[in-house]
Amino acid sequence: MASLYELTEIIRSKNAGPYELTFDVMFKNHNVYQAARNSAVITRELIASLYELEVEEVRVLVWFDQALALKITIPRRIPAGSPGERDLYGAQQHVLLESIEIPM
Amino acid sequence: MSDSVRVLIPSGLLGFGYDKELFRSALEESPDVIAADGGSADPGPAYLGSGKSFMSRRSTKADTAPLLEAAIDLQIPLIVTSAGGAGAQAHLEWMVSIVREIARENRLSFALGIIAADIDKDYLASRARSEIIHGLGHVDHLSPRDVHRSAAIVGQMGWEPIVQTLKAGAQVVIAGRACDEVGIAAYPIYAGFPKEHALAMGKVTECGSDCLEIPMERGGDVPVFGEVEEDGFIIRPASTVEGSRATVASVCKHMLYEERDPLRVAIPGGVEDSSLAAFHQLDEGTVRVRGTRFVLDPTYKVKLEGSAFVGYRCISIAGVRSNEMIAQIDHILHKIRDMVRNHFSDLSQDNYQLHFRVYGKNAVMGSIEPERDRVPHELGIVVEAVAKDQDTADSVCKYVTGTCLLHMWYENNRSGCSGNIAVPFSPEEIGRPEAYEWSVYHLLEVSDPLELFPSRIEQVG
Repeated sequence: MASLYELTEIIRSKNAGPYELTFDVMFKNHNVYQAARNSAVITRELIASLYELEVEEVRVLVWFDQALALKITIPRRIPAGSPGERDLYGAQQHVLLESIEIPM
Repeated sequence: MSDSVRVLIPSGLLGFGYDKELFRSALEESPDVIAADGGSADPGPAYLGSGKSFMSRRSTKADTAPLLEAAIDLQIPLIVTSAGGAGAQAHLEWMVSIVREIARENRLSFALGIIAADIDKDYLASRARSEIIHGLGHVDHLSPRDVHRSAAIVGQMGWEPIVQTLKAGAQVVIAGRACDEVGIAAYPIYAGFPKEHALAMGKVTECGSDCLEIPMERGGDVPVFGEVEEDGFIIRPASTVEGSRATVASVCKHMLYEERDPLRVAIPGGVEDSSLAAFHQLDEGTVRVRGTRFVLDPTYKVKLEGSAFVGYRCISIAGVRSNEMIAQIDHILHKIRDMVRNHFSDLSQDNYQLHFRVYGKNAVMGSIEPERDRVPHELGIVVEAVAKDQDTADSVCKYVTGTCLLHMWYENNRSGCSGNIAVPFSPEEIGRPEAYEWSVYHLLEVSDPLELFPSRIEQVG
């Protein structure tokens, strides 16, 4: 088993517009990218449970071979910058992805 | 027509700074145009709503002056989009005044094109009454109420108003809110090169050196060249930059940035489709991209952004070191909400909002924080009160910080209520920034890409 943290160069989150949060998981090399993709561990259900969402709320979950990257897009809790904002740019919400375990 | 158009992009955001030496040596490579994006909606609705510019005047002027001087010296265009950050009237005028000031100080003379992006509220409200205007990323249709309560509304212009302003003779174009890539794509399109390559190149380069691999120790932004050709485009850093390079990986990685679906990016007029694009490492620092497509929308749609004033705010910050208080903080904050409800019983609860952020516990991630029950040795509590008038916001904030946090009783309070928190500042209230929220974020159909974006040309100097 290896964690996503160990298999990747970059795991980041950022807003995609004021209403959505998008994650990029960029793998170190083609082998680990394929292993992660083929393992089918990262699913909409997993993301929904980590981020306290309904499964249908996971809007995008796609694998991009050219960038050896996985992209996930979910709704933000509140529109960016409204009172009560925790993270204006949505840049610090990625940590939950780091400990996802992938069988190698 | 020459084989290609070379666009020089000095940085990802005008005002963030860029390496002036690298910029100067990039000029020796004969760029055909300099393009700089001035803004973004990322910093939230307050800049649009209040009319404040995102970057300071000082840093914007420092970044703009070399660009303007170079453009006039080389007799090439300079295009700045989303001026002042949010790109509404106040921000556009602010940016134009900076440009005029630089021109005066350096005795520069040129035709200045100014393109506005403000949407008239009566016009938009009338359309909202008579048709369904769909929301982006959220489900609500645009209501006339949301239009009227907005302090400012802009549309993101496409490349068409910029191309038209160039055709009308402008050398320097200062545009209000625009789609991120169009300021960079406009001149290549004006020069007759394919839109699908110009726009895709603009998408890659609109954040400046973020599309490059840069050695960590470099620090400042590296200017980028984007060259549009008949059958594709080329990305590389400005010349003579040691260790900085465009790679297939760095270009592809950047295409993911801030996009919900990077292979198909919607812009005014259509979709940039890079699902069939081929990326090739030409040499160590240069990437060529071919095969990007632009799929025309049957109807032309403009993304609208609008910001509405929510209320006045008062913010304070307090440190906690007492272990007993740290251990009970959730319960204490819950109790404080009850105390506030009682103390301000004359106010209905939709007259004010009270938000806590507990740093050291779960301020950043809230309820999904897996470490929220770990007990740290120190907490930072940020108190945010929002209300319909400043006095109420101040009162709620002061009551929470002074009466409650500083002096309240809690179980096993070993310092006896004399001082439960460490206040870093006098005055305690660290800010009163007005609160705004996004009130419009919708797609509007138009029959003409120019109709919402009037432009004018003035001779400067």
